Amino acid sequence: MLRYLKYLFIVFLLFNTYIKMNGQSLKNLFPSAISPWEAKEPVRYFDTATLYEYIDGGAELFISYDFKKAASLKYTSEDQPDIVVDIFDMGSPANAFGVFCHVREKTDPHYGQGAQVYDDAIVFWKGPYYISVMAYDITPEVKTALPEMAGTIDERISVTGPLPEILKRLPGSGLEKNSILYFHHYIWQNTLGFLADTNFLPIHSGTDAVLANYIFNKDKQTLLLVEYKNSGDARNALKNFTAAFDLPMKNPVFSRLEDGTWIGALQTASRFVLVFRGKNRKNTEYLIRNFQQQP
Amino acid sequence: MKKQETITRRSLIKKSAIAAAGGTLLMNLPVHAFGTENKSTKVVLIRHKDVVGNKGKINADILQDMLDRAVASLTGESTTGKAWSRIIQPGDIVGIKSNVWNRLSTPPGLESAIKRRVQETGVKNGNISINDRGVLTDPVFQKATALINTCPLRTHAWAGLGTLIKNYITFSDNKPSFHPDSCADLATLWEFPQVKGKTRLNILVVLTPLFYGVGPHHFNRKYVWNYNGLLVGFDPVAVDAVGAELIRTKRREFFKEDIPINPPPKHILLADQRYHLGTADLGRIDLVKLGWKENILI
Repeated sequence: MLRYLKYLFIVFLLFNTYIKMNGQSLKNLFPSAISPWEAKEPVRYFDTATLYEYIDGGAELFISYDFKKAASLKYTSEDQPDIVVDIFDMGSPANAFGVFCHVREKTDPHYGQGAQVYDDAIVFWKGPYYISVMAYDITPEVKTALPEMAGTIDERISVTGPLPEILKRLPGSGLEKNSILYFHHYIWQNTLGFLADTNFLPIHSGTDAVLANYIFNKDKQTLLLVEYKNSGDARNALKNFTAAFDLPMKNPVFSRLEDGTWIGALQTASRFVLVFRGKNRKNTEYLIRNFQQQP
Repeated sequence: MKKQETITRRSLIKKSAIAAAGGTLLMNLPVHAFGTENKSTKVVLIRHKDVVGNKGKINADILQDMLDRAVASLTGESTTGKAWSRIIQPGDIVGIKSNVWNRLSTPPGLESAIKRRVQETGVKNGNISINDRGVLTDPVFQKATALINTCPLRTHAWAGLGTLIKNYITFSDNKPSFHPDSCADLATLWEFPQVKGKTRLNILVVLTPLFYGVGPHHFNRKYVWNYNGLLVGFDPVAVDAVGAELIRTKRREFFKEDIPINPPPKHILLADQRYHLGTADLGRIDLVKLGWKENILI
């Protein structure tokens, strides 16, 4: 009986958490006003079917990160530009971080779990949420209001979440942290340097992937790490890569491309690692060998 | 949709058959020059130092003059009237396909300038319409015999670039069907019956292009600059390819390194390589430059 009650209690807690994190609770994250701005219109909600109507041309970015829903509220004030606050529920901290990677140039620690601050906008992520506070013009009042709004929303979000596990596998030496891009849609594989125009590895919703730049004495290397469900898929990725790049099927494989840059790849356990763009083989090898030493 | 061969970093570096266009569009490889090989298509770039004023206000008179000079150059005619009569006939029903994206739309002054010249060719006022998202239900567009296509150049979160090729997306009643593979097959829009063979002129607005997109709405004014230009041509692929080169060079200037347009705007390349809508090979484009030359970039 005691075990049964414990079970019920856990179910209640989970349900309660779900309710708090879902649905109309997004509404509670918005401040009603930041003087002199007021929200005179109701909060608008969007899902995967309607996000296109709201974000013309940008919806697919969010959908590629398993977007769940979004809420938007416009704040108006006489003689001041409108401020629009958008809160995206990405379903998981990993996906919220992933979307944030696309705007981050230099991480500002003052909001949520990381922010990008512009003159006319503050964008940050916290827990499963990705938040944008954006003004339609810049005035001295806007410059005061944006931090206040972002700060209020930050305080109202009570949850935080971990970074994607795959990031722990990135070698620390030489890493440009602000270049990290977490994703699981192949469209983003070319973000730091063109690799291929098709999903040749492949990368899909069941895989985790990360891109990052490394610098060793001015030699910039780009690393792609893909974590598959099993070693067979990772092995196939290596095969697909060597075939597409016209390289011998070796593990690891290193080659100097026709422009003088080095490329290297490795399959280890369920992971596929690719390093490219570097001018020095030693650095490419260093990054690849690092993964050979990982459990 | 035809089966797609994978274009890799290596295949572009190896200067394969697709390298001439693909190297620039997909990988930021430097273009050697415009029109060094067989020139197959002409694109006119016209700029004016004063067309964009304070707070982005557009000078309509200057813009009209820019359009007139560009069209005259494109057609090789000496006067505005003769030039436009090569493009539009009095009996035409003309749809001016604009773009109303709220952060960077086709300037009303340009829409008016186009409409004015179309009217002057003798087209009845009731046979001219300017529209974007309502083209499918617009009676003029429904029976149009001629289209003039104009939109601003900007980076795009999913297609890489917002282009003239892409501007016809509103002729589809199923826009998400064009989203796979980062909108690779947008050129098929140009096969739609409402569109096929009707486009008489393409005007890519590069007055204040967006060269890098961030944020939920893919817009931040930090990444918009006053380029003060129009790119005009008969071949939408060629005009878009020149636009892509402009964005590429601006990004290199701004970021001090090559940050590829992402996703790669492969729909421009495939419009050439797969759908033969026009040429994306800068080496085959005769780029005519008129007007203001400062910081021209291309």
